[in-house]
Amino acid sequence: MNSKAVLLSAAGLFFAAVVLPLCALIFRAFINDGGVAAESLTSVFHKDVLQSIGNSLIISTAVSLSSVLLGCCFAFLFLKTTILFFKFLRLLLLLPLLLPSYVICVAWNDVWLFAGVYKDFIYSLPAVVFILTTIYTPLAAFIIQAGLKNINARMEEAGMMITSYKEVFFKIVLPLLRPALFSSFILIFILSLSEFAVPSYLSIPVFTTEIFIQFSAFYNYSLAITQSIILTSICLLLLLPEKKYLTKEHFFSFGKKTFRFRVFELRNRTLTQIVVMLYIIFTVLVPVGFLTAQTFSKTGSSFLTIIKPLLPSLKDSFFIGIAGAFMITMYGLIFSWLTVQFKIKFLQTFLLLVFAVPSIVIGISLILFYNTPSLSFIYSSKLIILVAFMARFLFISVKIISDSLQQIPVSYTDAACITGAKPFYVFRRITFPLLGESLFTSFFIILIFCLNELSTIIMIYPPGTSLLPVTIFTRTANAPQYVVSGMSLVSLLFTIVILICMFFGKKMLFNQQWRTSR
Amino acid sequence: MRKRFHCLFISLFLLACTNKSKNEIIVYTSVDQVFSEPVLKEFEKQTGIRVKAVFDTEETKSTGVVNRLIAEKNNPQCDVFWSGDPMRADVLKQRGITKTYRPPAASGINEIFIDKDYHWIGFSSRARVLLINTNLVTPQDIPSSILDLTNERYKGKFTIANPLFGTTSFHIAAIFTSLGDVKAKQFMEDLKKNGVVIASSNGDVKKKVATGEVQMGVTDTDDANEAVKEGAPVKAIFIDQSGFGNLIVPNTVSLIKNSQNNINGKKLIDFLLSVKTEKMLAESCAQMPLHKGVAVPSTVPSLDSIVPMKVNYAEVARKSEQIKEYLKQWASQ
Repeated sequence: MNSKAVLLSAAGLFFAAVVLPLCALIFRAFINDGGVAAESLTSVFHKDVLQSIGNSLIISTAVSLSSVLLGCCFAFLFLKTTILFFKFLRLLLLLPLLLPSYVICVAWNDVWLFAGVYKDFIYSLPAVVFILTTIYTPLAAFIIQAGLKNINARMEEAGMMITSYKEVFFKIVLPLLRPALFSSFILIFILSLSEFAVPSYLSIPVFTTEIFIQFSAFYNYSLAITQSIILTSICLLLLLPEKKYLTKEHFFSFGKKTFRFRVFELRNRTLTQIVVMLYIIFTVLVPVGFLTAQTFSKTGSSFLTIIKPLLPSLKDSFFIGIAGAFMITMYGLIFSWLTVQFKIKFLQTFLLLVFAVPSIVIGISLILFYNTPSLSFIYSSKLIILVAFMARFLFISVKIISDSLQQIPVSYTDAACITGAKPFYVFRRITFPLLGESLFTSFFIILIFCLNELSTIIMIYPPGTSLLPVTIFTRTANAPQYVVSGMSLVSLLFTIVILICMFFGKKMLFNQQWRTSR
Repeated sequence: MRKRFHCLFISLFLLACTNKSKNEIIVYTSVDQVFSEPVLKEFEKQTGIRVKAVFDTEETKSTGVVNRLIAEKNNPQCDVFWSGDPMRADVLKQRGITKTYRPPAASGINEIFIDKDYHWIGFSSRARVLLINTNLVTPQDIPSSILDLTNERYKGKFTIANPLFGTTSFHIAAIFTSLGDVKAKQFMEDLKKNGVVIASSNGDVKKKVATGEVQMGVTDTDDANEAVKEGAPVKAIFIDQSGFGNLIVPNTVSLIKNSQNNINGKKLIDFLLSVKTEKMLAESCAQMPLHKGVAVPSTVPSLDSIVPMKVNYAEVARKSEQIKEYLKQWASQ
């Protein structure tokens, strides 16, 4: 069997495991209950539904734009300027992304109430936009930073010989950065469009809450599924004009880093430093600090009593998170190979479709498909969680890896082939090491998402399994505030420790001296 | 050789993942984990039967377990469903997911808390109470009826959870059955006009009252009890004691039709309906036992001292289904 057939078989397995359940669910909604589906299509034109769709679009657009704008500023400051403590500040900025969004939302709510903020702001659309922006800004910064790393200083220097850096930035740097900007916009747009916890907690009706109500209050699967299809279609319609970017532009850049890049002296370094630190204090340290204060507010409260019930969850979450990130990264490599080397371009658009499906719909589709006597071995085991992770996050991994793969010069592999090296040897000795950083990036980001995933796994986790986000969430209802806050902190520390270990592991595994250290 | 090794590896992996044992039971519960888990652990200790639980919470509107049970109807994984209220148990009954089981321990429980076909049996109950912030509300300002919340003096000062979900939906449905549709709808409209704050859950109601964001709110006794334990300046008031009574919300337990461990399931149901479980739940979350003569802490009120709302629970559950569309519109106005 040739390599293409092997890879296609592996991709086929993904389609059978993830896409088939979704297709079966859609078929069930449209064909079995055709009447209801027709009714649900017309339901979109109801005033409340239109308002919720409008709110969703406003939130997604505002969050994506503000996160990308802020992310761009931070990426530039951390990478291209002489700002002090940039590594530490970068780590701090990442914190909101490492916590489940509902924890951040509750923390902000408490902070605002404590500070006496006007209630009309707390329960408003701008509040949702603000919270989601603080969560997704680090993601945008992370992606844009990777794009910035790729810009050759020679281009900037050439431009600066004839004009100011301001002009160079707008005419050279920004156009070169466009793919990274657009990729982060897409990712954040879809993530905030399918966000449920924050708008729900702040009582802002959005389309996902409408779908949720159909599932949870009316148990009307057909209507909810049809509405989910509409949500996915909205995503696609909005992204269609930029389809070119989805398939051709780079999400994360890599490969041409043999050159140095330029670091600029900040004209007002002290002022910039203060502004950056104020942003981080205000948007990151305040909610995290509030969680810490709540944890230790109870006299005599022992941190050990908080950790103890979480121990089984820490173990399960660690192994399932690692397994999920590993499997998705491997699958990401397979799909990237099919997309880049075998030019099967539609795969990415297809994965984007799956990525845009609301998590609750994925949960229901997996239950209905796998909960049969013949597939029970998957449904009643932890494998079902891995399948759910694949459905949710494979698109991100494929985007990261395929962009890197595209940038490996063909001359490298051609040269090896001319010397008589076999394809697998070429892959092992040339392609794989060159892909090291993007594989690591994929693993890193997917692990963060896997460790925090709640909305799908709460519907499908096997009885007796204990996962950290589920345990914290199910204990939230009646546990004292200091316990809930303490659990959130444990979750945060747990993720940070894993990520730090990963960075040390990366340094040992992919120690590439020729790369720039920033 | 290599292929055989791979097959063996995959088989072992799948076996390790599946890991099924006969001496176990699978229970889905919408009762908060912090209260239900110790009871299930006690059952494990007492019987040696391993309990595998799927927990949910009212904070998620119990979406997880109920949707899961509905989706799993044709191949049930769960043996016993322990619900925090009769409404969800009745939804499952109507959809043919639960089956009849008449446990011996049910004999000590008032029949109003038991489904007529024994698809669900009630035990340890909560009550809907008015939680007031004692720093903000003087004794003379405390309303005696839920209907008083439409009074101008409480405008914008009270909260209820989203009536589409949880015990709030059950409470509103009970008001509809007690008052009739016309009067109940008028009451809901008046609540809206009087600036009711809609909280995301009963836990959120507790939080809003405890922090003084609002003066009072309608919630469950377990939430109120938690707020008191946390030292918040709050007090729980039983309402409508001279009117149509205070709603009592029992836990319910149901046996799932065609489940794999029916025998163990029945053992768990018997355990949950026992005096011992009611005592545990009274101690952990101030739930009121439905059996007579259970020794409980002094902070737990007796059912005998409350004028209960006289409702047919199955009828209320069905009413709740009927008024959902109205409540959705009401909540989104």
